[in-house]
Amino acid sequence: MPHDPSTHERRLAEQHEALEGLLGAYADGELPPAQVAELDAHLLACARCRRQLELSSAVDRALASEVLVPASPRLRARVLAATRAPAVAEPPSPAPRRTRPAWERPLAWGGWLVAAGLALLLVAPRQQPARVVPPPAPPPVPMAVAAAADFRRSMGTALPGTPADLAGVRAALPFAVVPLSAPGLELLGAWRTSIRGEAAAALAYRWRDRVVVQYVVPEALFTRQPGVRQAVAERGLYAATDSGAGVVAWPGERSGILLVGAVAADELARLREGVPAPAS
Amino acid sequence: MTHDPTARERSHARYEALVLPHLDRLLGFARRRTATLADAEDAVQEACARAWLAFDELRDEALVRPWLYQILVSVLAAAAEKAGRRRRLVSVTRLEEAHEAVIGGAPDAVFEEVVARLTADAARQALDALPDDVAAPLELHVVEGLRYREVAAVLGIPIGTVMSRIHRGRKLLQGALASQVESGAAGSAGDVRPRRNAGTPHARPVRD
Repeated sequence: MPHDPSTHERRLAEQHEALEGLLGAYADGELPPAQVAELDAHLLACARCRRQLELSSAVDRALASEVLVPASPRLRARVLAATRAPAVAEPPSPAPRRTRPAWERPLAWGGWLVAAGLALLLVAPRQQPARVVPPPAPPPVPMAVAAAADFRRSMGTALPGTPADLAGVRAALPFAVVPLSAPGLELLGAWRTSIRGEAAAALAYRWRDRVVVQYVVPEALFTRQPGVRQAVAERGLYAATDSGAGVVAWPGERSGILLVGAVAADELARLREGVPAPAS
Repeated sequence: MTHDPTARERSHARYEALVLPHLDRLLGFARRRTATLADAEDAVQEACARAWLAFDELRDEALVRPWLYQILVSVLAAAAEKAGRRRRLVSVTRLEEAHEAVIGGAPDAVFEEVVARLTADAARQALDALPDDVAAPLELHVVEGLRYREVAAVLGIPIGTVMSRIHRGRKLLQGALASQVESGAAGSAGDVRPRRNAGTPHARPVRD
């Protein structure tokens, strides 16, 4: 039976329409064997696709041949310095506690005679105040560790939200989510997250050349942490460092606020006060 | 990361060994999407700082390169958003027509001339004229050498979308180069204007 050219051309055109979009992947070695075989056969008959492949190959070679400008030693130094920056320093240590002699401690059940007797026994040189070496900072509370971990995860990917998502985040949570306001602070995104199993808001900001994240958590979670309660009572805020991330926390309106960033906690604390950090 | 000084030093050494070799390429990618070299350096530094913070999350060292690009793309997108940069509209239809002309109907001599004029500068200028949602995947694959699945991970899009955008990007790029030849001026792309201050790879998607 003689071969019908029009049928052959129509079949080739149909094949071309189905396979043309795969040419790039074919050239890039990204197709499975079955599709490679299909294109091998198609290319034998389709001059247009052969031309397309030739041009693509030439363009790719031209693109890939661009001379790369190496990173300057200054940039390399900046990158290395960031991993060894003061952000990894210990948080401001709480004032060393003066150990109170037993006779000064309040007694829940009265018994002053017993207390007087004990005082004679318990006043001793070891209760002298002002140790030369301050005690090491306590480990961060679980809430701060969780916030720091969430911060690190967020920094490893695209931010989960945009500034436009703030309204939705505020509407979804039962406590007030009030963005921070400070010179040089710019909202980059807002999203909902979970801190220690509790729904929380996360607001990311650009601050100078860093990204910091404000977490707003339920009041119950915030006040559950004894270390946080004590720090807030003594100094108005809680501060800690977890694996290079500084964390500060303070009470909000029926909530708790944590601020996390790759900077020292005392620098982060300035954002709460709206005081710009001194230029480095 | 850990408070143990010895383990910390090991982390630093591992980080430096894995990340520093990619600084040049990261800077090149950033430079093509920022207004100045200083902005590109800032973006790379920010990306590396984020990478350090998230370093413990990197389980497979073989994936460090797409991981770094993923972070850098995020940094660049945020910076572009902040600067309110908008892409210059490119006449995609004209590029498609120019591509069709050189592939479908041009005499061999015209085709050979297009191929002969393919310098790195001409290709770069033509790439800069494309919408970033097709330019970025094409660049990540052809220039930076990432596989399709790695490009998909960096840009957060399905691998099928990567395939179609790279295919589409190549066609538009070839159309831009053909337009340059047609206009008769090396380095000039006719009605194709050079890109400055790239937007996000996900902005104004070309129809897939």
